[in-house]
Amino acid sequence: MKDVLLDIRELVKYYPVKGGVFRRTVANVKAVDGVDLQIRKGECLGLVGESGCGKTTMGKTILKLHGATSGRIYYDQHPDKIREVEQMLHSENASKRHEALSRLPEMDIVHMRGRAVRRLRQKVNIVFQDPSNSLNPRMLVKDIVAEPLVAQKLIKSRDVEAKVLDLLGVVGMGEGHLKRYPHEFSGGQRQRLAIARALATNPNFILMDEPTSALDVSVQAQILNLLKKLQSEFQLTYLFVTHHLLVVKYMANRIAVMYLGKLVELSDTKELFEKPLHPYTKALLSAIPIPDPDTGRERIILTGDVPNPVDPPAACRFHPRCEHARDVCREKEPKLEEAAPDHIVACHRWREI
Amino acid sequence: MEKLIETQDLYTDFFTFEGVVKALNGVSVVVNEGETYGLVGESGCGKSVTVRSMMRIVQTPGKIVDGKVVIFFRAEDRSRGIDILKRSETYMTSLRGDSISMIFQEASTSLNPVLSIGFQVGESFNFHRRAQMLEETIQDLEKELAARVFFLIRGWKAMQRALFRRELAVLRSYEAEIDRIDHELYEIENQNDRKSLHRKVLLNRRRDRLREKSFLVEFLKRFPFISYYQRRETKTVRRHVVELLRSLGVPNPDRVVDSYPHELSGGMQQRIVIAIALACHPVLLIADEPTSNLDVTIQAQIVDLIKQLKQTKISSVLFITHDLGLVAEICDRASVMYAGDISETAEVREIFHNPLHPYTQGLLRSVPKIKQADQLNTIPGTVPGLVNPPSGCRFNPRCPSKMDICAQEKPLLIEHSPGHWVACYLYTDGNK
Amino acid sequence: MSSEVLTTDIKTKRPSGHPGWNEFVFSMKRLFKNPLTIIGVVIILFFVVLAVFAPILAPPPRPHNPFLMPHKGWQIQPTPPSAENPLGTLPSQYDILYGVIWGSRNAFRIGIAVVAANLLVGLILGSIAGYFGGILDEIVMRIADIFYAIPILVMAMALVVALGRGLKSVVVVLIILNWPTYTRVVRSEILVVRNMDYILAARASGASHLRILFKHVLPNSIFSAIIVASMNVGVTVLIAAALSFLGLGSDSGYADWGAMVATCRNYIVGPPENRLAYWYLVFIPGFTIALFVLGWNLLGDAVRDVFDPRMRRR
Repeated sequence: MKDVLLDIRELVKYYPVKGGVFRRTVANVKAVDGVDLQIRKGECLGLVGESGCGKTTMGKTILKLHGATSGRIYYDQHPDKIREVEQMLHSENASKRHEALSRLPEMDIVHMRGRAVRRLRQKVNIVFQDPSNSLNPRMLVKDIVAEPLVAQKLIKSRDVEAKVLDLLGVVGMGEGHLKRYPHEFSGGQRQRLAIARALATNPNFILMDEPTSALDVSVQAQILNLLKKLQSEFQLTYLFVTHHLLVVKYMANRIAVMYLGKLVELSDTKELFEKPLHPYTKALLSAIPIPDPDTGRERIILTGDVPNPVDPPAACRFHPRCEHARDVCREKEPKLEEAAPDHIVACHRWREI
Repeated sequence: MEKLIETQDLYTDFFTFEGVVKALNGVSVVVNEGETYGLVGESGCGKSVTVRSMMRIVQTPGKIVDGKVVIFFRAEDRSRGIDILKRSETYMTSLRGDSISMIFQEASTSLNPVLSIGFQVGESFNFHRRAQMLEETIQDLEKELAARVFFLIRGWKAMQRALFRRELAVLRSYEAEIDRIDHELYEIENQNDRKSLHRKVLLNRRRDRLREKSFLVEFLKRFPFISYYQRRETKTVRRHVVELLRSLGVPNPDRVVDSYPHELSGGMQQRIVIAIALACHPVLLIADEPTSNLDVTIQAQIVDLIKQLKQTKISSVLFITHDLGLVAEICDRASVMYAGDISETAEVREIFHNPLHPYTQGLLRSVPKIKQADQLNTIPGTVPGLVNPPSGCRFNPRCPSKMDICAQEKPLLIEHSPGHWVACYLYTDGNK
Repeated sequence: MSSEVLTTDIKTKRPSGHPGWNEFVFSMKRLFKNPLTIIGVVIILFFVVLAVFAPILAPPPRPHNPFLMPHKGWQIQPTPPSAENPLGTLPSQYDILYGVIWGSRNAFRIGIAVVAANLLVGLILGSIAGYFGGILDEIVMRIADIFYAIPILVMAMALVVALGRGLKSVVVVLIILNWPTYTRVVRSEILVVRNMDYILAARASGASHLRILFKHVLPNSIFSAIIVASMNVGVTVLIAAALSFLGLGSDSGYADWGAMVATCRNYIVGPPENRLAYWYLVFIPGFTIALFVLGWNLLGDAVRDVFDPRMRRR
């Protein structure tokens, strides 16, 4: 059993929709609605899905950029301890539950406070999608890349320049780039700067939020190769969030597919592409434009639009658009089951389809 | 196959504060009837500028400085074509939306948020097909007048009919006059002596000054009570709009017609944009990265829709994208552009299986594929700025097969094999 | 890989030196391409010269309080420009030239004091409202709304009663009048900047809220406030002059442009035979005020052109 770095249990994140005269909460945008996921050490886990599926929200919740509505994200804990605490949380005994809750702040990102959070920030970081937005336009490159160290007072000001040069060298940029402003660089270079910044405090885990979606094709290839190199060099763990399936196929060891706030399928990359089980995964795969005019594959065109996360369909969330939907799909919500070793899927009818 | 529209050695420059951006460096593109033509390239390569030059909607500070854009579908003589760069702006406005339509990347910003969908789709009908709308309105009114009606209402409808008839008559004579002028302009198009030039200027000026509305009707429209008669025409247009939306697969077209853009989803908005573009059955549909912002499944729907429409409503599609997968899916022929130059033009199958230009080869290698064996290969370096582009072939600083001549002179597009054109010195003079 | 990245992409040749200074130089060059800017700057420089060299250009008869205008007599009737009084005299024989020169000092004092105070208040309250949001935002905004609702004259009169006549009250009135505008401007900029990815990145890097506010949010949101400020200096002086004219500002005899016009209230229209007999009373101080406001408006326009991100086109 491989080491688990992040163990996510029952993560829920709702955004309240306020309306009415007194600004009461009239509805909730159910961005993430109960997700269980384990990210293993040293792997690159791809998280795919379309807009509104909650993948970006989940990533940001892991980084504690906003609080979760409920759930737990265990960071670097021994699996036995996690099992114990989870059992206590779900027990009938109220005092056990209480005791479990008191143990969470040291183990669980959602409940962490104070100094533990600051320690966490040294260990996890993020690379954003749009490099023109993710670098402060009024700061010099030197200050931007050194920000994580300076903000947490981990470095003396005279050592800053040397350290930044170090980091710039790792991402393939040089000394001439130190004292410049972000707008003087191209998109690919800015993304490199963002990566250098993410590496500043020697993290274990980096969340990649669509890092190449805003870049040109040839630059994308450079950045992807760089990310792969860095992962093996520094033994990093990546959560690679994207909607581009071919990119995630190139980068990820395992892929998780999300739809409307729920995890619908999780498996090894090769297996997901060869034997997708969930109808949504199949539709996604068939919808990717393939750069080869002779593929001649069958296209599954889904009807309708991506529904609104405020009011997701009952039971199986995919049933309105699924051509294999039956009564059971409209009544009961499918749970994640293990269809093959290391391949889980949430569908009632995966065996028949 | 017949040629539909063609650009010949198009040069477009942008005169900015930082210098002259030489966006297009002699672009030649040929789109034939009935085909889907792809224009591929990375950002900044000039694909949008090319199609905007073709439609003459280049934003300031850009200007088309040289070259020709020739259309063949309105010409009486199919072999000669009309150079639309020499025509007046009113000619272009009659062309846009009617024969050539364009859809853009962001559907949400292409639609006016304060106007209803029906109004926006109806604008095409109102502008280009007014005669037809007026005729149908008059026919409806005649039918209503034939039935027995209360006499006051009868008078009202008769007045409506009279006003519409007058408008139609003026419109018809306007159109006839325009046709005459266009015909004469076409005859003397290639004559460049002083007398012809003078005549051309006169004709263009007259064409711009013609009025398509009658003074009497315009005057009467100012009276509040009488101006209500125009609503009749809106009803006819609405009928057409609903039918158009239905044919594009929009559910509940009656309700959608009265709703506003923000009430619709992204995919639906893009359908409306396509509806506006197709309202008058254009000959050419130009799509400037229409699906880049959409989810994969919605993108598949829109691509499917465009494929269907090509069989029924449009003749040709000019599809701009940076996604090679889309090109492989929809396009019949494609051009690869780099930094304002066309590198290679061929049938799609040829481009993917037998890429000749080093840039095309590099591009295909750097795209992740389904059967990706090993590392993605990258093209070293970055896209050059276009204020001071590299001399000669603009790709030469990054080209693995660079030769001395590449930095001196720009290579011309030559036909390496039938239908496969490439601009590279590797393929000139037996240099295979 | 690093050398290839270096050589092909530094966009333009940059002179060596601190990049912040280079940006400034670039902005200045852009500024001065516009002839209107140059006119605005020239006008302001002219007034600066007047203000700085006031003791030399118009030696004060009472050095301890140079703002009291000199008068050689107590003649009520104002006299037109003559050799002795190059711009004429006001009623009670105050010299207009002296008033104009020392008035420019006053104008700068008022303008800059008010605008600086407003900027400070606006930045503080705007940051609180915009960055922290929630109920603090509501409170600050509602208070601002209340201040918007108070009519300026009523407020001015009340304050004059409370604080006594004089420029001090005028300055206080103007600060109270304008601070909601600055607060709103700063707040709306902050609301936009707050959602940018680089703020999230700073949070992910462990920066405290205070650090984010000062190092990331504020440097990106002050530009609108600066633009408003530079345009407001002129308007502030105008309103101060208006208040003085209404009698709520300085006393007569004080070297303030508005006060000068105030003393001429009875002489704006001349005797029936010659309506324009006293044109210089209204025209000269009025023209000075107008020129001052024009200069600041042009400068404000130029500042906005330089700082507006859309027009920078980089």
